[in-house]
Amino acid sequence: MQAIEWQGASKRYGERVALEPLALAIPTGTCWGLLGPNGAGKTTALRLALGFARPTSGRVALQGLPPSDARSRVGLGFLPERLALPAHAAVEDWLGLHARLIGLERAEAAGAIRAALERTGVADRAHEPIGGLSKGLRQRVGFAIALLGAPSLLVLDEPTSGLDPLGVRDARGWIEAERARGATIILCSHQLSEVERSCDHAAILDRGRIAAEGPLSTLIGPGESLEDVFVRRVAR
Amino acid sequence: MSVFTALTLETLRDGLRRRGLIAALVASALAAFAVQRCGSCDAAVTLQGRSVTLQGGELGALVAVTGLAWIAAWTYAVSTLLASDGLATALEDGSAASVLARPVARDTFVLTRLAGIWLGSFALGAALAALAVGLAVARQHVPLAPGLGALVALGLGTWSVVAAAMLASLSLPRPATLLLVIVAGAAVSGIEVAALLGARTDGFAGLVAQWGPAWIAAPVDALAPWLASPLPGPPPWPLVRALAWAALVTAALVARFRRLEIPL
Repeated sequence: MQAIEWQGASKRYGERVALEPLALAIPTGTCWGLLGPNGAGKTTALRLALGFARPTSGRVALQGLPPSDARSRVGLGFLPERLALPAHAAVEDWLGLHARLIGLERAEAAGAIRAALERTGVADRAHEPIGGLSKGLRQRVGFAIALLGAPSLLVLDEPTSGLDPLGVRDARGWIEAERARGATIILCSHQLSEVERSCDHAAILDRGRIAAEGPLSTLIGPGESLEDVFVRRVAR
Repeated sequence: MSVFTALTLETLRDGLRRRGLIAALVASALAAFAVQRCGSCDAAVTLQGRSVTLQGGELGALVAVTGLAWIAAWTYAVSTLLASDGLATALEDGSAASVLARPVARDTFVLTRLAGIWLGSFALGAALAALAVGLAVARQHVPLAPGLGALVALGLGTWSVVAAAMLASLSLPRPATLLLVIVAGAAVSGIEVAALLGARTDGFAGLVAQWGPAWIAAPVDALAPWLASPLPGPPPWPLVRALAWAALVTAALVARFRRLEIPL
């Protein structure tokens, strides 16, 4: 079973090619790093996978279904790079809305919200409006939303953005715990060391096409780091 | 609470946070004061040198109908203001993406935005209209049922205006959306008022008068039983047209939103 499968999916905006036909399958239970320089097509690939854009050619399957089908997003936790949280809402109220959106019953939701807030270290700010939180705390709230209800597929776009070193360490722990639980994880990040620590596979995109993909154990040669591979593959 | 209700209430809360709605609330309160004052007015005119006084009972019903037509226009203006960025802002700030990453269908999302913005703007208009109807019933002793019919017509008109503004906002920047919907709304309303007053309407104006959304015609026609004499130009099937246009614009909005690319 594939969590996400791009089947020759491409995206053009007029004459501009955002993504060349992409053939990539993310099996369930794996952790993939989706890497590439700015403008490489990572966000476009994610938008196609989440049903936010339609491919110009080819197809995408999310958990075996077309992404336009809302059921394909059951069990999906998503942390976007541009995290949008309503400033007016109390932290727990916003998580409450997301709990309803993923179909948790009231009693079940209360427990799940409390667990997510405690895990991400914002339980003591649960009653505060999100607008009053620092960038790092808002990112933690974003994590709490993504982790709510034990997702089976976790898509994290620049997850450590705005986090201090302690927050980065915590985020690594959450990702590792989700991996251990069996969740599929897609990690979109410029922090190559984080990807190297957390993921078992990676795909490097460059100028809309795959420059390299596969298990990190085969991508990274002896004495190399993922950064070395990245630089070698995308060097102009 | 269902997903639909939860998202609709969130949209309503989102609207309540906007300064535009606060301004509309203040302006509506002032309008309510004017309605209260105007509902009790008399008229004194000089006709061929003779002074003629029309008492509230004779004039009040006409004033109430005119007042409700203005309330409808005001409600549509507020609806346009709120709807012009009610969906566009959610797309721009990423909150739409946050919700649509959940198992929420695009149709559900856009309909909850529509319902939430409609609730907010119609609540304002309905409160004003209810005040005007209540005063007319109390002071002019007109029957209540036409007033309720006018409220239904106002609700349908507000729905189609909100949907139209949201639809335009998916393709145009906010100032252009506001300009387009307000100009189009004023043109449609002007044609409808002219037709209600018995003016001959041909060509495009005739089409609007016959087949248009009946934004003003439907509430005014509902209040026709209040008037001593029938409307000079009674509109054809105004409530049916208002309902059909509400459904049509909603279907267009849903179809457009299905194909929309959501920014990340």
